[in-house]
Amino acid sequence: MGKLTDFFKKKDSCRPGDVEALRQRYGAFRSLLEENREILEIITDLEEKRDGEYLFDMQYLRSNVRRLSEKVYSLIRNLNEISGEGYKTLYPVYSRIQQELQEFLSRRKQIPPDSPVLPLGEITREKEDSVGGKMANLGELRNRVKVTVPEGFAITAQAYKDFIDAHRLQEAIAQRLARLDIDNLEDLILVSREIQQMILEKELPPALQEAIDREINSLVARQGQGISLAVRSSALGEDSKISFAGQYGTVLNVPPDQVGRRYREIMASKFTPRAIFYFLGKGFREEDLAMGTGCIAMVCARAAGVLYTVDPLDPDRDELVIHAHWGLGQAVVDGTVTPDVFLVSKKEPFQVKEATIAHKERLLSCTRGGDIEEVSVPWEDQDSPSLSEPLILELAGTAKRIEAHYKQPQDIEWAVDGQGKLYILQTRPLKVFETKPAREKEGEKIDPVRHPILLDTGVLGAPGVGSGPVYVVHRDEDLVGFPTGAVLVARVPSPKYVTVMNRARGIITDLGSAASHMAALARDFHVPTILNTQRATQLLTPGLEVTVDAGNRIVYQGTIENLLGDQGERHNLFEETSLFLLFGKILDKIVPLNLIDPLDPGFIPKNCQTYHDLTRFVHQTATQEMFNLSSKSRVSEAKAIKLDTKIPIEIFLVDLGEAIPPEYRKGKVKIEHIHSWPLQALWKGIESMKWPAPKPVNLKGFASVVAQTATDGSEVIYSDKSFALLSEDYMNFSIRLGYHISTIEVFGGCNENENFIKFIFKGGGATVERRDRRTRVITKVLDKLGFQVTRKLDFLDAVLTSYPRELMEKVLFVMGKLTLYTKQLDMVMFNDAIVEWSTEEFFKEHIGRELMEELAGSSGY
Amino acid sequence: MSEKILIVDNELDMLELLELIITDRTSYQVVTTSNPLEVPGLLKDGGFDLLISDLRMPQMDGMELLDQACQIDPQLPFIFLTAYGTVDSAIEAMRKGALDYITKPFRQEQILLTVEKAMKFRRLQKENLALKNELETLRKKQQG
Repeated sequence: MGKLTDFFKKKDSCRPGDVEALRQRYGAFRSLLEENREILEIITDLEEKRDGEYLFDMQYLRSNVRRLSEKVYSLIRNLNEISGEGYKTLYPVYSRIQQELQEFLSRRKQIPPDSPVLPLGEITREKEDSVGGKMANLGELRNRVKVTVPEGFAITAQAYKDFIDAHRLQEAIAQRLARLDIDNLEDLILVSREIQQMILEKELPPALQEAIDREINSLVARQGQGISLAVRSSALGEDSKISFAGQYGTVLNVPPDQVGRRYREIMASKFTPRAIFYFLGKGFREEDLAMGTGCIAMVCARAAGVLYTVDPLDPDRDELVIHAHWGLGQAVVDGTVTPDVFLVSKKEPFQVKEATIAHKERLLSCTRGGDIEEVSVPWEDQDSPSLSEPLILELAGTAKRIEAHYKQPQDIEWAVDGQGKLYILQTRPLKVFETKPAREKEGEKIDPVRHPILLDTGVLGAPGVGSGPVYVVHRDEDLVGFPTGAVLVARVPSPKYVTVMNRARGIITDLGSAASHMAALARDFHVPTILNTQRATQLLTPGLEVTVDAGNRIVYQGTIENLLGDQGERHNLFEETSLFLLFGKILDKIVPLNLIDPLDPGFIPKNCQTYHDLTRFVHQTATQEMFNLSSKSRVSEAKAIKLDTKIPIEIFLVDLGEAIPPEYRKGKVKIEHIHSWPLQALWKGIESMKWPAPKPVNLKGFASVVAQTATDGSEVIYSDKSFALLSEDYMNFSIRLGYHISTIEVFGGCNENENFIKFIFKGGGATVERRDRRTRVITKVLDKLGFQVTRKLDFLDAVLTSYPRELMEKVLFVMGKLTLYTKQLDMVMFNDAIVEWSTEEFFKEHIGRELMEELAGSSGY
Repeated sequence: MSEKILIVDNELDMLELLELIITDRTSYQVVTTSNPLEVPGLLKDGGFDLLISDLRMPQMDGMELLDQACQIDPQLPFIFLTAYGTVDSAIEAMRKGALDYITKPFRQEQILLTVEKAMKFRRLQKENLALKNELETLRKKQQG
């Protein structure tokens, strides 16, 4: 509310009388709206490519991101032009995002400056770029999820860089790679061998060696002399994980004095022939090969294995799957042994639903000398469960906590030591492949009697099928009660629906298009969405069970299971290619919308994290800045054109472009000669009303006016002239009627997403209570017209968006009538009952049922 | 023996995606190369039923590749991949004998349908050739 009340206190930032400056600002505003539309279109186009339906290349990504960057920059520049350079802080935010995108597109990885060695206690998942995914997750488990993991530390990407820099290896490596023809296998092997040799024969820099020794000594002090370590490479970023899967192994049971040597081996393994081929072929550079390495106290396991928090082949069973075997878990991970399998119900109390005990002859165990060996399983254990029931249940509980923390199914490696203590060794997202039947062809086998088609129009907002009871949202407050699993139905799309998107099974709106902020969010949240159905709020009644088939733009009555079964069919064949992994990162910098509510204190430039955030912020702020123009500007009457009207108010017009023909630009102009449809529509409403006579003020009422005006210093008499800034499809009209001021700003072009009506009302001549009652009448009317209204006493702020022009004309007609109807209405607002009476009278006498029904749809009124 | 497709693109990403989709959704064998200079050698080894190539590559222009391919196997169906701005060149390529072109980015179905169309064409071509040969043999027999 603070922001809105500031509106009336702002100082003029526009040079007095400068009509040209106003026109320039309006020109910038028009450009900004166009850019906003283009940006949302590019974002939609990029998002369309996310699911793997299209094939594209880097050139496509580069050109689209470049185009997007140009548009966003231009958008910011235009906002600064409109506001008199009031939002320069947006530039550094833009530059940061743009640079990050450039980094992605150049396929270079940034090594964040960090200590060469980090103990596990200092690692959380934000450190992934420094220590790699494996170690970042292990630290997250230890420090945030509070599960038991082995002690240890990470050697960071910074350490790798320090090593390369200390021996000036970068140049030597680059030279060898530069002259390499990767299609010549012999050369490739030779260069690979040379580079690996260079790395293996160099000592670690003293500072790095000391840091590693310090951490090892600390481990020995805590765990005793006999410890050994597991040294494992921890790849930076998903690209590496996929491309080099299986190439960098884990070295188990390493004695402390050999950690340095093993670390060098892992660094050298980055230059195998295949790795070089891949990186050069992909256009990566040597510095992209930086990596993290984990050094973890070895758990010489009595039993170990893997746990999936859902069955990857049958995710609906709601069971955890545990694979367990005697000895080290390596054999289970590699698939070289047949493990015991336990299925555990996911609901508490956990229960082992099924146990398949394998015959286990061989196991892997640690040797004293620092290696691992395969030995026989004692005969009495060969057919016994490798995990006791209490440990199974403990493991299940731990796994559920991990899954809850990451909010997605997990693939967890675990081990139990000789004392029966459970450790988690690793966790990563589990890929679940749905195996549900393919969907029926359109219309086939859907019983039209049981499931009649309720709607079959509209545009696709986000694909998918969802079902649930209809929940109609008339205004933002309704979102509070949104039930889990419902289908959201609304008149217009709003980004505020994001707050319920994780609970919604579908979204259907009467108006809007795919290139709206909300549609982008719906795609991000995978909520099946159909927009612009025209009649959803009329046809879908609250509580009605429906199935939304967004892809076919059909809404059926009831729940259709075989359509819902189609969901899992969508599997992106390309999702693990390096291009799509990179694409995902790029989209993360472009698509998510974090700035939702303009009234939220966090709606500020520095909180913009994506291009979408910047676009939303700029668009919202620009409309606010434009809104303020007519009230802040003090265009001299001599430069404005007076409206020639019988209505006894003085209105001065400023032509922002082509609204007033040249022959009328001096002196007065009649309404019929003005080419501005918003003014025409509003004026039609104003003229259809009689100019109200002074209200019958009783003695008490009159006395209260006088008393109030005398005692309340904040009350202002708005006796200025009224001003309207006009173009063919834009109007910014500040109407000052005696004791109150109202401003109506309208933009209505071809693109519905850009269209809006903003309305602010404040003031009055009566007491606060009476003024408050008048704004309640106005609120009730605007609410029915579809506005989002914020009201505090006599201050009212309302906005209506995404309406097509024909509807907006009707809304403005009603607002014209309302303007006159409410003039001095505060004087007669003696009690609360008059609020209801006046509202009803306005509708009944001045609007008529037919028009109101047309405007309000069936949104519950 | 399954039919064989050669794909040429200097963009390794595109090669990877095309190989994945064609091998996943058809039974054709796929060979890829990012170096168009290797194509003549590969074609000489024989056995290809379709060539899919990018139009613009730094080592060799797609048009030149088409010329070279025609010299080795004049009947080989040729599909070009083009970027938005190079459609004119693609049309020019079709005048010179390319079977079809696809503008990047394109849908999975689009490439699969185009490949299928080209393979059908290739099969008819082969059938036609076989019948001609048969006819020729019969004629020779009659003459003999």
